[in-house]
Order: sequence, then structure tokens, then C-alpha cells
Amino acid sequence: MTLHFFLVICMIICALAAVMAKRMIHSAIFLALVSVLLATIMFSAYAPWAGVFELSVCAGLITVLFASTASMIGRGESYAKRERKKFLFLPPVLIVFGVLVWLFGGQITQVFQISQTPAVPAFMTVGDVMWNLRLPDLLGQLCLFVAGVMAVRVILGEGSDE
Amino acid sequence: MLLNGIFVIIPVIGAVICAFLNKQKQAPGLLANIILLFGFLISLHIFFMSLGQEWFFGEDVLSAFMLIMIYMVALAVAFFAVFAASTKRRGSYFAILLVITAGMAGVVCSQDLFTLYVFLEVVAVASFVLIAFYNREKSTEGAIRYFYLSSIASAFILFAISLLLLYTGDTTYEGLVKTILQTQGNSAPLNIILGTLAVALMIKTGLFPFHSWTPDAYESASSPISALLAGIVTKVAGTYALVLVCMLLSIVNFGIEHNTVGKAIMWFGLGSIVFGALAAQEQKDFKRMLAYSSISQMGYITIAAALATPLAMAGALFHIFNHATFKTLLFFCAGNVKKATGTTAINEMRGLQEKMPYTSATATIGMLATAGLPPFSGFWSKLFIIAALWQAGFIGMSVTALFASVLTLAYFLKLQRGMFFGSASKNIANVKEQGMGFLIPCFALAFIIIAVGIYFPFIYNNFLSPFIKVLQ
Repeated sequence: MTLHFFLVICMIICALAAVMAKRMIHSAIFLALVSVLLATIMFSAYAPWAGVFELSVCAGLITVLFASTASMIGRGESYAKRERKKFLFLPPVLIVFGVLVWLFGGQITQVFQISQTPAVPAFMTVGDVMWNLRLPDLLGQLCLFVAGVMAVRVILGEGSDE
Repeated sequence: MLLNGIFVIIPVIGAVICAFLNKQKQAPGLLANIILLFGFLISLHIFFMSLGQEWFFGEDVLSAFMLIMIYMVALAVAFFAVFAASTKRRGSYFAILLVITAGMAGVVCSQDLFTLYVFLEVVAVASFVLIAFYNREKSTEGAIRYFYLSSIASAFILFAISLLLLYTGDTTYEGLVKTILQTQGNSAPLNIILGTLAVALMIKTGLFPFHSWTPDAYESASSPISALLAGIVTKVAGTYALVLVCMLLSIVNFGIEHNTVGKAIMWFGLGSIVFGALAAQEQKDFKRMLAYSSISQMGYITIAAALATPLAMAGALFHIFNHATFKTLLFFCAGNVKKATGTTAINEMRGLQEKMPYTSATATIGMLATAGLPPFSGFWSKLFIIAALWQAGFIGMSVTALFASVLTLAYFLKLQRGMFFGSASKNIANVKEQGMGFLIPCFALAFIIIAVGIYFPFIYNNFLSPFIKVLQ
């Protein structure tokens, strides 16, 4: 449980950094870290399927899309500063929330009891899950990746015919 | 899925190649047409090979039937787009067309709700790009509205799948049916979950009152894209999945008698039929009228799918096919009119029949089929749906659906009189009929509409009757 709390805290810090980072490319990296940490929590909570998808779709695909979008539209630091002001309230709110969790932590952990029953047999590796059980989903992700890249290229990269 | 995976993989590979051919004028269109023709022929082969096998979700005949429709409409659109798409970025245009085809093929080939969700997202992203392709103010607005509503729908779908996984421990269609059969008697949680899924799919279908994205998206997109969206995308991304959910609901509730959620969906369907038909009367733009007409026709499919009797299901699937053909044809005709005159406003011209006889003739066939007049294909599928409603005791709904069909005829006659009939107005003096590249897809679709209508006994004996028997 301590490991889970540590991972959740790290995830919240990365999420904060993602919305408050000065550069969009840094935001994309922090967002990828959020996904990696969430996937780790899912793996340790015996949900490898969900972990695999979180890792491949969110940490992989979404990061590529965000990073390519950020580099294409090339918005500068001043824009980021103006946008960041909106989120200045977030750190104090999260600190208050953290104190409340610490005070009433016992009751909350009862609600978030993690299942000890693995959703897939223990002998199955991530590779087994991806290649044997969820191959059609991988195909779908490939299509989604191509669609996402085309979206970035058409809408942001090529401009209009006129 | 593995056999049917070629219907997904090949278009995606083609899309990547097309994206690299962005500067070429002819090559992307040619490649897309070859791939889609290949897919169409293979799907026809699989369909005829799998006839007689058991019908089941995501397998065999049902997915082969849907694949035929997807590839048929996509091929017609790609052929039409070779001539009609006015863009320098032809590589990107045809690449996205292939990606959306792959996404739709994935939806109908999937045997698992989560896989279905992933491919629905592929279709949503590709649709967004296609609507916004020309980066015009109106098309961008239409695309954003579509994306917002589609995102809400996706969130609902994901939420429902999560609940379903928690409740049944499975997301495969086969596993779900098994679990539902084991847990019959405790249907409330499953009804709530499947109801949530149905609401999400109604948004994707563009049913009343979730229709706000459809008129803007159809009107603002270019004509080949409007044809693709109305002809097949909403069918696959919304209606096909809704048919699956309605089948599951029917299993949960032992048919329609105790199926409260099914009955609620039927009311949404009826609302769409009436609203779409009434709203279409007021439209002054050809494409916008077709958009409201689509909302109305989607209502027919939904009401039949939710009724879920064998006759109604056969009617729903048959009407999906028929609507795919006649609505694609009508959007092609709207594209021809737009290309020739520069507008699709109904009251700005008269007597187009004199100047564009082939477009006018094929549009008339499409309109009469949509209104459900014999001997066109739309007559038979509407007859199935209305008869199924009557047979199940929903006489009021049956009569309302019949009257809405008369309303359909009324607004299309108004369109015909305003745009095509009468003596040619002065402002169309220099208008000429479009070339054969524009007309060949129109002729092909008009031929299918007439052939399916005239050879209905053959279609009933070979395709519909075996399907009804299996469901019984």
C-alpha cells in the first residue's frame, strides 16, 4: 500500500508539472510519465491488461502525437506563461487534499482495497497478453496511430488548399 | 478476426503509401481504388463462401455482409473523389479515406467490445479529419462539434465497457452471451449498462435528440465525404454497434415484452423518424435536407433493431444496406449539382433536369427509394420494419412510421419541384451535365437500388429468410 501511495503522489506531481510546464514538449514528457506511473500501479494491482494499454496507447501514441503537435505549432514560452496562470490554484488545492487524505486515510484505503485476485493467469507475460489475447486491439492501435499522425499532418502541418 | 484482419491491414498499408504520394495527382486515387476494389471482391467471396453458416456477432455472414457494404460505399466514394475532390493534397485525402475504411472494417470484424471501442475511435479521428479537411470556417466548426459529441459518446462507451467487465468478467461477444444466459433473472444491472452503451451509440448515429452534429458536418464536408459519412460511417460506427447492443438487450430480457430499455430505444427511434421528416421539410439546402432525411432513416433502423424480433432485425439490416446505397447516391447527386452550379440551395435554380438529365434521373431514383416507393429497394426494407412493428403489437408506432414515409415523399417532391423539374431558370443557362467519372458511381448505385427492388424474391430466399430462421 505504501508503494501505491508513493506512486500515486509521484503521478499527481507529474500531472501538475504537465499542466504547468513552461514548454509544451516538457508537458508531453510529463504526461507520458503520468501514463507510465499509472501503468505501474495497474501492473502492481494485478491488472496487466489495463497496464499494457495504458503504456502503449497513452505513454506511446499520445506522447508521439503531443510531441509532434508541439513541434509543428511551435508556440513559445510567453503563450505557456499566460496559460499557466490559470493553474496556479492547483498546488494549494492539492496540498489541502493531501492533508485530508492523510487525516482520513484509513477510511479511504478501505474504499480503494486492491484486489488480490489476478485478472489473468500468473504465468502470462505482458507479451502473451499483447500478442495472444489482445492482438486485434494492437491492430486497432496501429490504425489509431496512423489516423492520429494524419490528423496532425492534415490539420496542423499542411494548412488549407486556399 | 485474423482472416478478416486483411480488411484492416491492407488499407492501412495503402494509407501510409498514399501519404508519401502527397504531391502526385493520379497515383493516390488509383492506389486507393485498387485496394478498395480488391477488398470489395474479397468480401463478396467471403460472404458467398460463408452463406449457410451460423450467424453470430462479429463472425461469418454478418461481418462479411457489413464488409461488402463498407467496401462498396468506400469504393464508390473513392472513385467519385478522383474526379470530385478539389484538393492539391490528394495523398492525404485518400490516405484518410483508407484509414477510415480500415477502422470501419475493424468495427465489424471485432468479436470483443473493447476492440470495437478502439476501432470506433479510429473512425472518429478519421471522420474529424475528413470533415475538417478543407480548413474552412464552417467545416472546422462542424468537425469540432462532431468531435465534442463523439468524445462524450466515447466516454460513455468506455464507462459501460468497464462496468460490463466488472459485472460479467468478459468483453468478448461470445463470453457476454454465455454470462447473460447464466445470469438471467437479475437483469437490472445489465439493462443499465447496455442502456448506457445504447445512449452513446445513439450519439454516434446522430439520432434525435443527439443529432446536432449531423446537419453541420454533412453540409460543411465535401460531397464525397458527406456521402461516406451518411452512407456508411454512421451505419457502422453507430447503427451496427447499436444492433449488437439491442441483440444483447433482447437476450437479457427474453424478447421485447419485458425489455424496458429496448422500448425506450424504440421511442428514440420513432422520435428520430418524425423529427427528421418534419425538419427536412423546412430545409432550403439540398445537403442539409439529406442530413435530416438521414436522421429520419436512422430512426427506422433503430426502431427495428430495438424491437429485435427476427423480422425486425432482418428489416434493420436490410434497411442499413438500402440506406447506404440510396443516401450515398443522393449525396453524389448533390455533389454533381454543387460542382455544376456552385450551390446546393434549393430555391436558387429551377429546371436542372434539362441541363443535367442523368443526375436528375438518378437523384429521382434515390429519392423514391428513400421514400419507400415500390419497386425500389427501400420499399421492401420499410415494409419489413412496419410489418414487424404491427406484428409485435406496436400499431401506433407502425402507423406513425408509415405516415413519416409519406412525409419523406413530400419533402423530396418539394426538392424535385424546386430544383430539377420545370423549365430551366436563366441562372443555369450555362450549366452542363458532369462527366462520366462523376456519373458512373451514380449509375452503379441506381442500378443496385433497382435490382435489389426488382429481384427481392431472390434476396429474400437466399439472404433474409435464412437469417430470420436462425434468429427464430
